[in-house]
Amino acid sequence: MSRQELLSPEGLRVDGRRPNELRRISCRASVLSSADGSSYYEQGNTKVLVAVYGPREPRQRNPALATEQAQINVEFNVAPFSTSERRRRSKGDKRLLEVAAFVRQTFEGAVQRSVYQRSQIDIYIHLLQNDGGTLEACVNAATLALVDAGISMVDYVCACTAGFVEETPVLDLCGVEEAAVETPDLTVAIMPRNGSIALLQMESRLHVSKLDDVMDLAIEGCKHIHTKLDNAVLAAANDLAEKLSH
Amino acid sequence: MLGRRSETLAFRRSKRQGLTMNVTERYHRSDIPCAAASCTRCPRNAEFAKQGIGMLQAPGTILVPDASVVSRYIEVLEQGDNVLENIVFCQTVMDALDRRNRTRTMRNVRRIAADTRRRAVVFANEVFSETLEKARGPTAVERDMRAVLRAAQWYKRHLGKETRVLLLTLKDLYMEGDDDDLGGRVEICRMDEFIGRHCPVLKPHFDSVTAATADGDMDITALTPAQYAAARLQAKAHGEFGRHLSSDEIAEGLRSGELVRGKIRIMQRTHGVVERTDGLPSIEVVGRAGLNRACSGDAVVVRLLGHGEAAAQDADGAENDDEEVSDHEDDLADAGDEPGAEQTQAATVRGVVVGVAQRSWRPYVATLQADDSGGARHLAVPVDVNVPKIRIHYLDTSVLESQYFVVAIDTWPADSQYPQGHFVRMLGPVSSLDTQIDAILVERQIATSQKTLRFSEAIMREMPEDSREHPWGPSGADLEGRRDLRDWLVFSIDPKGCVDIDDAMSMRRVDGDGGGFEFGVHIADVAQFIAPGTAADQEARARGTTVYLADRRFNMIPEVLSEHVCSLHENVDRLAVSVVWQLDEDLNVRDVWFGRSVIRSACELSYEQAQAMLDGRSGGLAENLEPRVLESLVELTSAMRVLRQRRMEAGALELASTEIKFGFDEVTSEVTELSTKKSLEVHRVVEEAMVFANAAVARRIHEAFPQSALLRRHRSPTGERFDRLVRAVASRGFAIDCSSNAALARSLQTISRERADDPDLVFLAKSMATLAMQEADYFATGSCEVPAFAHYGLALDFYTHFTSPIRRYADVVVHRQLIEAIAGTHDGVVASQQWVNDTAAGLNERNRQSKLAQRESAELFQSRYVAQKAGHEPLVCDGVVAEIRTNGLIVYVPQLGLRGPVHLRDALKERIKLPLSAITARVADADELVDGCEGFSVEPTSLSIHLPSSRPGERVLSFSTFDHVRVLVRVQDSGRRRPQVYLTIVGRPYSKSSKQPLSAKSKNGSVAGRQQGGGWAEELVADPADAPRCAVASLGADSHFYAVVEKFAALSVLETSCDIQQL
Repeated sequence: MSRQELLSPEGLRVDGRRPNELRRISCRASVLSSADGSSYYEQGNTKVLVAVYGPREPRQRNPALATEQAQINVEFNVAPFSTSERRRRSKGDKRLLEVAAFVRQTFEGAVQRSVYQRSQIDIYIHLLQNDGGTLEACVNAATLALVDAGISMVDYVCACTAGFVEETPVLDLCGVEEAAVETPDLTVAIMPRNGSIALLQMESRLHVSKLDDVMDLAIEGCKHIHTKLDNAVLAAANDLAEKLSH
Repeated sequence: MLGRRSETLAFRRSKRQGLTMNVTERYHRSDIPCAAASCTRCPRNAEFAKQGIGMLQAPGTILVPDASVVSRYIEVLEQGDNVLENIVFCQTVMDALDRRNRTRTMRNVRRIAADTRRRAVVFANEVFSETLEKARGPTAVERDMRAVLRAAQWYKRHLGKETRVLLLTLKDLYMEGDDDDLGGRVEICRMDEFIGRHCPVLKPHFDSVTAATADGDMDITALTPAQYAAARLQAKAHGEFGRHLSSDEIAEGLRSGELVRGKIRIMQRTHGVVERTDGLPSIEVVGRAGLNRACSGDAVVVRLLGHGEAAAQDADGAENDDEEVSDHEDDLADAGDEPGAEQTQAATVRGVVVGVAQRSWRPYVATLQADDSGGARHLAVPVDVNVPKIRIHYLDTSVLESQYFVVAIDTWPADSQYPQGHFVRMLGPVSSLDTQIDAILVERQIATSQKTLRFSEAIMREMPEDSREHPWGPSGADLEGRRDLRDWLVFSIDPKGCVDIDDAMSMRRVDGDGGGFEFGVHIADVAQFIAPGTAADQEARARGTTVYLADRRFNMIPEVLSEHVCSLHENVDRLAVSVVWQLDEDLNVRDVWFGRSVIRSACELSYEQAQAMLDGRSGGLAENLEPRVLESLVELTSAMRVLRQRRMEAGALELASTEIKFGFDEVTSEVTELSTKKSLEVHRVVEEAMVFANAAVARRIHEAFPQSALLRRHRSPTGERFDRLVRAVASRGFAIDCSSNAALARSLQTISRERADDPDLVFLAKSMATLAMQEADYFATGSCEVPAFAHYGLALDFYTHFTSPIRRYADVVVHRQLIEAIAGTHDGVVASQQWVNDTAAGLNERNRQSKLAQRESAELFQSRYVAQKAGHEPLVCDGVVAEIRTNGLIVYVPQLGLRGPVHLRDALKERIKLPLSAITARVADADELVDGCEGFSVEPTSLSIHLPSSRPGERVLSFSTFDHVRVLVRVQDSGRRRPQVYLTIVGRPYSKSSKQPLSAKSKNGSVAGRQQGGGWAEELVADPADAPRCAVASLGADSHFYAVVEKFAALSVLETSCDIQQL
């Protein structure tokens, strides 16, 4: 309701949602024709564009690194205009590298890497507008792009954030809520079919007894997002089918 | 459900970042309820009601104030308790306040909405799709006004014709006929007309606020956002105080760790200590500039200083004191502060206040210091010494001479020495007793005056009928589902003359299979008569507890319940909640039964009667009744002895206790007697039974409500509080083990055994242990782990308050939880952890305030008693030096049961003010001072004054803790603050046995043995549980206590009270 109250006594958050509601999600696959797979993902005001190239020849032909499995390489870029204050980040910025590493680890578990031996899969993530939940948006968008690229995966990877405000678990934190000093912020990514967790990340402090509730809420959110991603894939497939049938 | 989504672009200008654009999204929804109690169309209304939000009443009149009214007249809205109700605060208004950083006003609105009796709600109209105002122009202010109008129209349409909706505003921008096409006809009313027509009782307050804010910028709609932003950037940095940082800068600083948040406590007006929430050491703030307009109790943001800056601050600090001098009156009742406070400065962290997160301003009672230069700006001097003087506007000051009145602070601008405030209302003449009582009530925020403490019509209508023609009795419906215990022998033991009896007991032997006992505790079933959500329930929750002052009490629930229908009188059927234990011969619990019952008490005993019966004398009961009651009583007493012994072994503490009772002349309400309470064995028996019941209920409700049971904990004291105790007792050759309550109890018992010849030391050790305790408090079980539930003082793992629902709201909540636990249901608000947490926090605060109020009223009557007695002839009493202070002593007078200050040096430490009577021992010399005293030295345990060399005899006059002195007791009545008792020394200090004046040499010998830590700054307040339940205290046959008390003269050093029931 206001900047001061993240959760009003009437149960409404700053942007009018209730604690268990997701922001509006809008996503499309196949937005870039030059990439093998691409997606554009919006969750509230957080907008991410992902391009996937691969599987292709690894750039570094180092025999020591040649493995039987595909290598996943992730680059994460944040546009200088993504926050309200224009700020340029250098490529080597630790935070960017950290997010990229998280995404890479997540997909190393989801992509069937043994199918693409001695290859490299590049995922380029561009954050166009930042309003909270960047890691979750990156993971969801990357899933969509990988599916669009036709890369074999064990399952979708769907991510969602959840936090804890005024003794209530809240789902999908927006920028204002994340920026508040005391809000714990937990990001969970699961593979919906068997519910296994691909990524679990939290930077702030949360009491261990509350962890269960918050995680359960986040996993619920992931399942909803799974539906959205699935619909986007279907829509893209339908488009393709139409084009081919003419 | 979520509907459309809109995005807003907002521009913010800040110093660092210049102009930035911010995009926020908002989701509009269609499920915002109207929060009217009678509306069935909004499905979410039920949830609101369950949460305990005060619902609007329709049909009726609904007030919708707009942003201009709320921002300027928030105080009138706040104070209009009984008059302004049924208010809808629109989200538009809250957002507008937020944009102008009016956080305090927003908090006040939230506070009004949180008080269920006001029936005020915050309505999310910006998010509600039906009240969406899309058009943005022409100005933001006009757009907001349209949005509020829309919300009001929606309410009118939604609630129908019988409801009147009034939109309150200060502006003329609304046009009357704006809305007919949509069928909602809203009445638009200017605030001044509204007050004049509908609530004239608020008009004086309204006018004074109007005058006070006439030149200010309280009305946020007066400036456009651009003007406001421009004005803020040019914040005046000159003036006495530094600018307070904006909330963005504070948030940034907190994140980076440069700034720290905490709560500040100000002592001596220029010295503050900030307690941090994260347990790190406190920060010191020194000097007026450093304090930067913070008041004691505020939540402040502090910037830490490095060494260089701290030194520079010290250098500046010296100059500021000149201002302080002119303020400082020469106060006879000021004995200074604890010695040694200055010595602890060694390596503490220093800081300066750079912002105030939350002000703790409240209405203050004050008297007037008129502006002699003939202007209209005067200073109001608050009765509370820790509050700065307040500048107010008032034209006709002759009306305010020697009157108490209430003022409120508005702001404290950076360029002003004092905060600015305004007059709220008059209380009455300072000399009148009723005004003094009102002042205590206002200062402790219990009520605005004694009149408002009467119960309203709405509450009285909910009460059952109980009159002489139709005395109340349980009906058939009442008896359903209750266990009928009317044939049991149940009796109650209470102070003599008590009418609100809330507990009764029964005890009988069981024959057959193993023997044993059937022990029952029966508590008045208040929850039966006060249903959740009713007016009486809301009032009781707001009051929290019955407030006991020295001569009167203010009940939590109406007298018809507390004294008649719920009270367990003898020989009538009464509804109760009972706990019945089946105990075996060794008093182990075989089985326990909880439930609702109906009982018929056989007799209401007084403590004295019961003790007489136990001692073998007659209790004065009927012939057929007395033997049966005696048998039960004897069995009960022996059982409770065993249980108490078990608890003592587990580590329960037996602490020192004294209480003062006042006796009043009914006609003139003069104080006729001050006496101390006797403690009989039967007191302990009843206590033990209640503790046993409370503990059993605590376990039961915790089982049923693991997250939301309302329990009571007592945290163990921290190590440093015990240091003084350890040091003091070590000087006499004892060791105290403070590692656990059992160890402490054993150590205290060892001391009482081995030093039974010196009751002085024993009592003292126990009193110091009492003072080292923390306060017990209520909490909801979900908010901490199970080990933290423990009660240190009682040595129990689970404890709650269950046995006094007539005078404590916590017990009512526990009753409700117990009843639901038995029934196995989880409905109602008592299952919500959030509600229980909020309630517990409120109750803790109410308890604290009522204890302070009780102490203040005791001090008030003590000073009146002294004033009466001293009026006839000089009142000279024996006293014991209790504490040494930097400018004097604190002496305890056992005959009067009071501690008074002895002023020996003035506040600026320049002149020594030793009265001549200290040397000549003649009362007539009390006001003459000895000239030319040369030295004045203060140690933690002694104070010495060097007499002028011209005097014959001893050169040094010194006082140590525990010296006996004779003092002249008088009252200082400045007409400004409450009359205060002060003492003047008559004669030199003497030793207890010989009554010879102590010479310096012999004193040195005894001082070494008497080095105790000085400075017991805190006092526990007398627990009113038993004595002041009756308006007139009973006087036993041996009412002349002086003979008895003299024997314990050195014992009763401290006025402390630690009733187990209060823990």
